[in-house]
Amino acid sequence: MIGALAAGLTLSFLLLPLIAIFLHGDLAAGIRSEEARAALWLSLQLSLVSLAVMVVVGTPLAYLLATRSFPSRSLVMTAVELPLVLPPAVAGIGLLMAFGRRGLLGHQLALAGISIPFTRLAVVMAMIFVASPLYIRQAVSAFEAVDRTLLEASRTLGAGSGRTFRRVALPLAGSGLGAGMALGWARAVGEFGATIIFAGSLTGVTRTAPIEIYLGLSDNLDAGLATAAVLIAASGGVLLTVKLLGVGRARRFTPL
Amino acid sequence: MRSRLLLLVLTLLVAAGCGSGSGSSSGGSSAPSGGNLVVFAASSLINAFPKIATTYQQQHPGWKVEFEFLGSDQLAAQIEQGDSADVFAAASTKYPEQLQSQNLLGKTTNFATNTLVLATPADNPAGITSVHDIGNAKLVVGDPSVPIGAYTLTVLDNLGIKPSSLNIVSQEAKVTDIVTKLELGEADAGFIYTSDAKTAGDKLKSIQLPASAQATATYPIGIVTGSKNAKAAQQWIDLVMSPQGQQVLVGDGFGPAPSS
Repeated sequence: MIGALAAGLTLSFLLLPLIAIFLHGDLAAGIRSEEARAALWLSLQLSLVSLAVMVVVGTPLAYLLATRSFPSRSLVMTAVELPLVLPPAVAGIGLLMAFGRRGLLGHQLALAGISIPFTRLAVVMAMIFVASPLYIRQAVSAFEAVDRTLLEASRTLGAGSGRTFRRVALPLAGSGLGAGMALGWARAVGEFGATIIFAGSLTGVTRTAPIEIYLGLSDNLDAGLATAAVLIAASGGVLLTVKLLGVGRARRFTPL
Repeated sequence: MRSRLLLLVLTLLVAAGCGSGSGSSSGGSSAPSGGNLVVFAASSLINAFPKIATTYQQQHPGWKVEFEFLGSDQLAAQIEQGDSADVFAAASTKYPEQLQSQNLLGKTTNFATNTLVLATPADNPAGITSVHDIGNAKLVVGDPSVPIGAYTLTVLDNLGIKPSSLNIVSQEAKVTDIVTKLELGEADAGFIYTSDAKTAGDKLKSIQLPASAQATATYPIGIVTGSKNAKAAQQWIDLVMSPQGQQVLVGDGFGPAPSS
């Protein structure tokens, strides 16, 4: 009884703001606005690039963290998880202090003719910084859930560690990795705070969907609401699809 | 087990909600003798208004002035969406007029003016000496939807410079975001208000614009319709208009209230 009441209240609290977005304003007009389309298209492209980088670099790291025990493992895990609990503004300032024109590496980057702030690369870096922990954590859980004896059997049967990873660990951890990719992608799409500090805001270059929503508050509320509606539908759709595909292991980790 | 956890989360949420709710409304009946006066102000007023608030709180014990500093357009949108504010002070006449047409804002008074300068980081990395040197510089400007961005377009137009010929790297939602990016040295130059340049002191170098190209921002202030603290709000406006308030504004780089 109490459980049902609590569930009802929680669900209405969580869903009401999202439903309100769909009920307010003229979404059809908003979605036709060029700003909304440019922002959504940019977000889609850059979030997919971010996801690709996260998967390529994060998967081997997660496998290492899941299968080996080494003295500094807790330290590495903490470093990987830290961006999850930091405010995005910290990420934005940190990225500027490291990669900005006057940042730690600014001088070297300038010598190499590279300027990162205000570029698409800056947006991708901000996305990866805040979203990769979600993917890596989920991937670690997925690899940890793989039966060790199967990995050992593969090795005894003569497969190298690389082959064991590709032919045994990856397929068995596949659904968990899929859930991690969904979470990481959704978080990358939602990135706002670090982007606006590190990458700025310019239509078609760095003005992603969340920034367009923020600016839409002033200029074009319909465009902002329509952009928000698309984000809700897309992220909700991806998360639901992963659940429906029966990713049982996803329950091992609930995002913050 | 699971339902208990849900209940706990829910209780916390409700508790948090109540906590923040009770503080903001001043409660009381017709004319409370104290409470919180909520002032929505353009972000360029972020330094001047708190100084005036100190005087206000000395003159009106029991009252506390709470500020929300954002782009005028965003503040107007918040008022349209029903955020409870008592006073609205904008950096442009556009948004107050927009609110007045919906009966959301009372009569306004123009309390200050502001002009624009071209600002660079203190060390001026692009070596800019006049507004005609900005062709290749990395420029950070205001988004055209916010007053500073609209005024910047006016200035560029007056100068005969096409925005598309410039290297604009970012269009920010708030003046303070432009200032930050200049202070950090990430951009070479940007158009900001004279008052912002004055506040930034030697962290920025400012380059005056030719008088013929200048755009003058007018700052109106008014009481938000439905304010429960209308009397206190009027006292705030009176103080801003008084010689004391005007002195603070001029000291921060604003022009005095236009005589109209």
